[in-house]
Amino acid sequence: MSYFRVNERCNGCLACVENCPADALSARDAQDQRTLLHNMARCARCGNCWRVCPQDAIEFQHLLVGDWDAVTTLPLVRCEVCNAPIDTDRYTETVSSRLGRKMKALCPRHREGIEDFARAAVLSGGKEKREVLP
Amino acid sequence: MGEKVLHIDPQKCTGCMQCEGVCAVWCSASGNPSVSRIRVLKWEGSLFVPMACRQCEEAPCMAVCPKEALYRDGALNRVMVDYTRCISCRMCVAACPFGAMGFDAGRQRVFKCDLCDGDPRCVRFCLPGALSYTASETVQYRRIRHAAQKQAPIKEATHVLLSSE
Repeated sequence: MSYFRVNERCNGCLACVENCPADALSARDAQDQRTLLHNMARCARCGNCWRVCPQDAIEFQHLLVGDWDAVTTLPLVRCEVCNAPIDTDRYTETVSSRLGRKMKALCPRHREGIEDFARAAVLSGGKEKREVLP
Repeated sequence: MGEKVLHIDPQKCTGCMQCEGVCAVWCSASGNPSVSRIRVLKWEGSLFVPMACRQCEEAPCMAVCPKEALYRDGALNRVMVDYTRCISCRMCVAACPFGAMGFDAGRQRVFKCDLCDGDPRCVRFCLPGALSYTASETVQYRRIRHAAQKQAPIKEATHVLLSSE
């Protein structure tokens, strides 16, 4: 839905189109319809259309307080151990290709290096795992 | 003497988390241990494993960085982040095999251990002595001694044999 909205008072006089300093408004007459057009990329949100509109038809607040648009949706990768979300599958692919090895789906707390380091520490200490206190 | 390394001995760690607190306050000026550069992890429910940057020779974080924002500081042989180049893509965080790189959501930037410019505060505050900042040769010597101690029972038996003669 467009962020530039008009209410039912709009009579299609096109005063806003004539007075837009950024050429962000346009109109198209086709068959038996007149369509008011707005280009968000050109709009400077100066408020001139709202100021000149003789019908008070322009609801300018939608241009100032907009909603969030969903831009893209990608599958999420979760940690194999704790199921915490890490990043997207494409992100993992990018990191893997840059590193030249396949990345495992592990969060920073469960990385393979930690496992290796802990195992080496237990072995080099010559002790068995410490007893868990009750 | 060669360059110094941050040596971690999980066998001595008691899990007091003092290092995390000190690091968060000193290095990130925050009381929140989630932005500490050293993390004490629990392994198999019984062993506390303090993890910090190992300053890898062929560092995956340096290899993966698209902006070459990670560089090696030769003087202390450490890997550093150039924040003027870093774009916070967090690829280094994803690539680190030790989970030693973190992301500070508040400051919106990554962080890693910089060895406190040669005086690690975590080492200073580690009471059980699980952390030490020593020359790499010393670490090597400790490993040899550990290996030798494993052979100690055999040595004692030889000693008994010799004395009985």
